[in-house]
Amino acid sequence: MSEAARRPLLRTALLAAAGLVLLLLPLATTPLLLDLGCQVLLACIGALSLMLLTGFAGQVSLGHAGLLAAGAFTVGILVKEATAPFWVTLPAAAIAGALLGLLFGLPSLRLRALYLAVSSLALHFIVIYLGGEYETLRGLSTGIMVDPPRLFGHELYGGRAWYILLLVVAMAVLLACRNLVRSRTGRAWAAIRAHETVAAALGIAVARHKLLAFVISSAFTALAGGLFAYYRGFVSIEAFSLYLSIQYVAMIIIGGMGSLGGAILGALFVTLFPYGIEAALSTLPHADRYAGAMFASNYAAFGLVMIFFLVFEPQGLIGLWRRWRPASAKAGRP
Amino acid sequence: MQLAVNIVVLAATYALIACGYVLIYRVSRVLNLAHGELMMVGAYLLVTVASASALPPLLAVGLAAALSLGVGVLVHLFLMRRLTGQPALAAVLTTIGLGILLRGLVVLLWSAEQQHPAQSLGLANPPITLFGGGRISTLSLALVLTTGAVYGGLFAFLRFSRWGIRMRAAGQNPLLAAQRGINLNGIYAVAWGLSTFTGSVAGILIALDSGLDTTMATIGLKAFPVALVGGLDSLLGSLLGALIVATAEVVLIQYVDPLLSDVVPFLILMAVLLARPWGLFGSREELDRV
Amino acid sequence: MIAPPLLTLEAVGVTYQRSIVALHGIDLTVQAGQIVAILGVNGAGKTTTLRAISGFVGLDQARVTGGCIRHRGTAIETLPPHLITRRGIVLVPERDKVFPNLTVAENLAAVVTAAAGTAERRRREQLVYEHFPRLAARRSSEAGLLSGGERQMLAVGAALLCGPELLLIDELSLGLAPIIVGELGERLKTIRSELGLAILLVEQSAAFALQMADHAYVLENGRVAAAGPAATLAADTDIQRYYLGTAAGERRSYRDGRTRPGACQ
Repeated sequence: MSEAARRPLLRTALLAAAGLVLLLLPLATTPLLLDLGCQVLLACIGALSLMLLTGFAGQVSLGHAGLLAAGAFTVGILVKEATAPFWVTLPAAAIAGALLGLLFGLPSLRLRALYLAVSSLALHFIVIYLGGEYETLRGLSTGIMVDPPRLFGHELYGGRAWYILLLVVAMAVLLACRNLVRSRTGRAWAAIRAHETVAAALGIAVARHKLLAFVISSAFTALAGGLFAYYRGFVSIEAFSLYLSIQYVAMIIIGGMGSLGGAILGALFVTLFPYGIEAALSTLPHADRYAGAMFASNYAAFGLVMIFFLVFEPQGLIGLWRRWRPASAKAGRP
Repeated sequence: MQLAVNIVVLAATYALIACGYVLIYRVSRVLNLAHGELMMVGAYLLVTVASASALPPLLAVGLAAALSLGVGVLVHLFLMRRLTGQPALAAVLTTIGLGILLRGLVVLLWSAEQQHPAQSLGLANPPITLFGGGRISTLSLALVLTTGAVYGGLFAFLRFSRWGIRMRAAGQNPLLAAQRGINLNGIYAVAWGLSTFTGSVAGILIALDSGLDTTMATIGLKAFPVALVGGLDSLLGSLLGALIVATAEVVLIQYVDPLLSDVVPFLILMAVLLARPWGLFGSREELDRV
Repeated sequence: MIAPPLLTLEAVGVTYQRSIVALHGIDLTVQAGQIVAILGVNGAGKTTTLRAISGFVGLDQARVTGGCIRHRGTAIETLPPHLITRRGIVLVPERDKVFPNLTVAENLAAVVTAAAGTAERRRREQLVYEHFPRLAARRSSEAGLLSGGERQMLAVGAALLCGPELLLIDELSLGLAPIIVGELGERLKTIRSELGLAILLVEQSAAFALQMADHAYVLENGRVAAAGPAATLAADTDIQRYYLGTAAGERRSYRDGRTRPGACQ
């Protein structure tokens, strides 16, 4: 069999095997690991949508946490005020995200890179402020409780059910992103990212495609936020700090810009990172002495890793993988 | 009257922090989002100096500020220098990473508890009654005066000193500057040093006035819209931006909603970005460079 | 033993972005006190040659990929620009040659003259204002408000302040009225003989360059196509027809040869 014919087959087999393992995972693990899996999957959805915006359409955002918050609060408010079922709240969250994305995206028509990042930062603070206002107004100073959603008469509860649901959603988002990137829209984004003026000269509707990137990315993000609200059963602005936005940016940097696989690797890395640090610290002698310093060490180490990737490995994990995998596989890469 | 005093104090605080953003951006086109953390480090250095030595307060403050200048230079030498030639965004993201690293390190080195360097220095902070009946704490007055002195000094430095002229030259056209024999890395290191120095002076004065913990970095971040509102490459702009933002913030907190405090600078920022993205005093062509 | 020449290029190659070859092995010599001209059409590699000498290629995603550039026998192709300037090899670039928001005096003050003392520096400033009295008159106006000719004077003046023994001038005549070009040319010749410096001139206008230079090189597609004493080249009818004929009448486009020389071919 020729090399070219064997590769897709191998690839399909590998993907199928990976899918099977992912699906069967909940049968064999502890609740703690399942929770970790759910966190990773939520992060994957968020990271994929940010990758779409930044890695493919070239638009920077430091306001990702604001969009997640918007989705979570949409769900929270609808559940609280109207006891709406999830098949109303989740689409509503996505629509709220899309509208907010339009708003986030408008400055991008005038602003480039840095200034755009700054305006998204501003929008983050504005969304968080509005969320805080709602909490105060309704006297919910600690946050909004969200009851678990009901699906076919069953309450969606427990790690196993959530894991499956999130896996399905994450897969759907991944597929949607993959198709978008390969479509005409994706090519337009690539052109805009490479050179906006040239893209416009080539007849690409720059403004429309930029806004589209913001709308789609924000809708996915808000959906992730809404799912997060249900999963946690609780919404509060405390969960959506600027640090969360930075974590998402770090995911796509560490994973590798311009690659959907990179987004997933980054989400995995960043979500598991604090647990890794914790594990590393607990192996040290007198581990209990460092218990108080856990949070700070985690913070410092995270900053260090981010700097490391930016300075020494700008291609991210996916770049490392591409460099290290066997030369034979490299030859067939487009 | 008291309202006016509050506005002036807040404006002076913002202006003193904001000039650090402007210095670095103007010279090296890097947006330093770790400025708040660096200024916090400066304030914590004072805590160490105050506890490790029996220096008189003024000397301790001077020593801490001088050390922070060194910190800024080191940040350039060991970190930012490696990013020259890379996209501006990579540098900005690196400063974000640096900020996170510094926050963690500060807690590890100095603990997360609130510190009161004024107490350990034995510094009293009596309020002073002004002519119109407004009251201002001694240290706030010191802050306003320091801001005036720093801006005066920076204007003179950039206009008249050879190094200052070279900094402006390097900011306008780094290629030509290098070609005229200007050592860009030296200039950038000076810019980082000065920026961290002025930021730290602000951090130190705030810490002396109202204590110090890791929330100080947030004050630094709030001053960032101030720099952008005025125009990131203009010192005059950041003075004016500070005045605008401080006025809006003090008035809105007083008459509308105290929760607005965190969001006011960013609301003004959005308005300015949409109407006049290069800021009130910035130069227009800057936009296309980033 | 003979002292090594002021500047030699031996088989210098330059590659942009690791793939676009702009220079394929250029050999070139400048003797002390000589005026040497480099001629050629758009994209022939003229500006790239100057950038390679002045150490600028490194900042342009380009690299000297072969050969050797020697200043008085010392290899300089790996030095950063500001150190090359301090060795006395100073570039007057084609565009962006002054700091527009700095005044004329500030433009001159920005120049680093590390080796020279204060007295020497003041002497050089005096010299610049003597040779270009129009700069003295506009000392405190911003460089962005100067005319094209005055800007060129300021750029040459700032370069002279660096105490050069070799001036690299990229397109002295570009965009200037012929009368100004003539004046500048005369000035440069005077300065050359007074200070004993050498000048390497890149020119689109072959007529002007051959009249200025002692020696000239014609570049084509990143190679030296012809070389010789300026008078010989000026008399050569083939070169006349090929370069003087077209180059004199053709307007150079705004970007060509600046962003990606070599890619135009």
